[in-house]
Amino acid sequence: MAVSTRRLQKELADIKRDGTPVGITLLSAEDFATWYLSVEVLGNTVYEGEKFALKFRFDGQYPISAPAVQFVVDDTYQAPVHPHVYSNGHICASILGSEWSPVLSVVSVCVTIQSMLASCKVRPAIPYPRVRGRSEH
Amino acid sequence: MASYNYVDTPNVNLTCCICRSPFVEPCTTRTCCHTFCYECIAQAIAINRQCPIDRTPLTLHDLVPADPVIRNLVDESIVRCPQEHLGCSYTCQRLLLPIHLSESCSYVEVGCPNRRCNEQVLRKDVKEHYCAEDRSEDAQTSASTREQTRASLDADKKKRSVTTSGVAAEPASPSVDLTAENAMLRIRLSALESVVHILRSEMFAVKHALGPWYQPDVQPQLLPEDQAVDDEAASEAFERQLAEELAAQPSGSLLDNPSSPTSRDPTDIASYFPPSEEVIPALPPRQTRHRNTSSVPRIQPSQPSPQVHGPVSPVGPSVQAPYANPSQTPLYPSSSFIPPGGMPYVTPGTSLPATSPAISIPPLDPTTPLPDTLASLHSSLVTLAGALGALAATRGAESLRTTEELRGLRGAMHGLRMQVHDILTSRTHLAGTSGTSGNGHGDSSDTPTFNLNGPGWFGYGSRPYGTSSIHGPSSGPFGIPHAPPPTNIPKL
Repeated sequence: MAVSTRRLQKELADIKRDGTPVGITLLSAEDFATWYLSVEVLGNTVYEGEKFALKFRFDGQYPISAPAVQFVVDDTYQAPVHPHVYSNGHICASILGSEWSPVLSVVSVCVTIQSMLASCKVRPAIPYPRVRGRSEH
Repeated sequence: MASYNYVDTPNVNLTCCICRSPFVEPCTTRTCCHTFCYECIAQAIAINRQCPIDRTPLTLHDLVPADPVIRNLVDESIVRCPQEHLGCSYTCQRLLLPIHLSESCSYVEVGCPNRRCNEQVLRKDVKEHYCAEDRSEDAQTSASTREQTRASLDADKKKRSVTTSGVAAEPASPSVDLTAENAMLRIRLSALESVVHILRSEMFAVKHALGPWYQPDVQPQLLPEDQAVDDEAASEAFERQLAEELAAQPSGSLLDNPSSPTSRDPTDIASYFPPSEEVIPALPPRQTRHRNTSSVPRIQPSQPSPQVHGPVSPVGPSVQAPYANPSQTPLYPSSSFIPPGGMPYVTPGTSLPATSPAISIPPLDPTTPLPDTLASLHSSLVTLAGALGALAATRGAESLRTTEELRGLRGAMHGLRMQVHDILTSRTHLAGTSGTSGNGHGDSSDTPTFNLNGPGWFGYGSRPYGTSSIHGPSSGPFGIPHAPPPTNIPKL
């Protein structure tokens, strides 16, 4: 059994037992490679009423290696218009890159993204287009 | 990484935050006191050298084995046999599971006990396992051996069935008892080994730091008396004993001793090394307890003696006083403790010697214990300081005297100059007045007159030769001129 499988099993068991925080729901966790969760920002924020979907992709080294997280962009879901979110759903967040820690989990990443959206005071006019080769900040 | 099935939900404090299961080989970070499984934190550090919890910089060297309490708690948590899906319902402490699997689990595959058969059979099925070899053997010999093995297997199975049915962790047979104990001892041994390694490296560092003063053999004739000496000693046993003694003796007089050196005059550091009371680790604490009570009154008399003598080198007399006391215990046999130059220098009553004493500094002698060497160095420093002070004082006194004398000389010189000047001018005047008597009298303001009425030369009027500079700012009889006297002596 790979390391990631065991850990994801535990996370899934924890979600099933304790539920998820307010505004976050588990959409799909069929295998231990790709999970989908929905994130909604509550309260009086710029994104009031909007629901977004996050796609998590895990490799065999999770949680030592960070999961790949991005917003789902399809017919039902759109990426939020945010300074750190590109129009194709790519997210610029330090905890998904160099500041990842094995202590973090799927739920904690969702909470971080939720607060990232909630802390945005001014909604940019147009979403940032994703330019190939642009480096993350 | 092994995976266990735990009977009870493990305590969240005992779960590794990386793998979210109870610790396997827990180790704690020295920097931030966080605990992880060794493998988990090793993998995490390979990617990012930070503590996963608080991001403090972390390397593998900063990890130490976790507290034995933690280790025991996770090792003793109850787990199920992993062969549960085959039917084994055995539960035991986690650390005993390997023994169960290797020796007593009936649902683990083992090789046929018959050496020539290579089949793998579940241990519970070994009894019914008939290899091809068995059948081909002679009935009698094989039957007897088979029955023996069967009997032993039956006996074993009976024992194991008793244990497997029970949920308790204690195995019934004494051999399993021993193997369990063996496993626990092995774990403790590994923890002890790491502790020993750390201690040894620290000891080497201390040895290296002491350099030539490190002496593995201890002098037995010295008695540990003063608990107040709390600086570095030659061996760790000394420190351990000190810790024992300090902890074991709550009496107030002893507590005063350790604190009194700090409350004394901070320059009186030599009191840390009272010559008759050096600490040696050889003796048991009970003896020292008695001696300490007798040592307390002895320290007091040495205290006032420094004030009796001069301000110079207050340590010297305290060094001497214990010597005079015949009831003191014998000192170190080393003679380098008292600097040879210090003794003649410090004699009662003489605070300022006239001549600078010959202070000889003894060379550093590695054969004497470190406190002695430090004490001798300190007393040399004290004598040097005293000598410096005395020299400064004498120089100051002398310079004052010299200044006074110089002033007096200057005044006298000035007076003499004035006299000479007057004599010379009066001579010229006398020579001049014989020809021009009328002019001389009337012209008192221009020419100097030899006024016999006035007191000395103070009745003179204006003088033609640099008068203002002569009288200057000073006044009065034998007024000491602040400005240097004029050197313009009139030409004759």
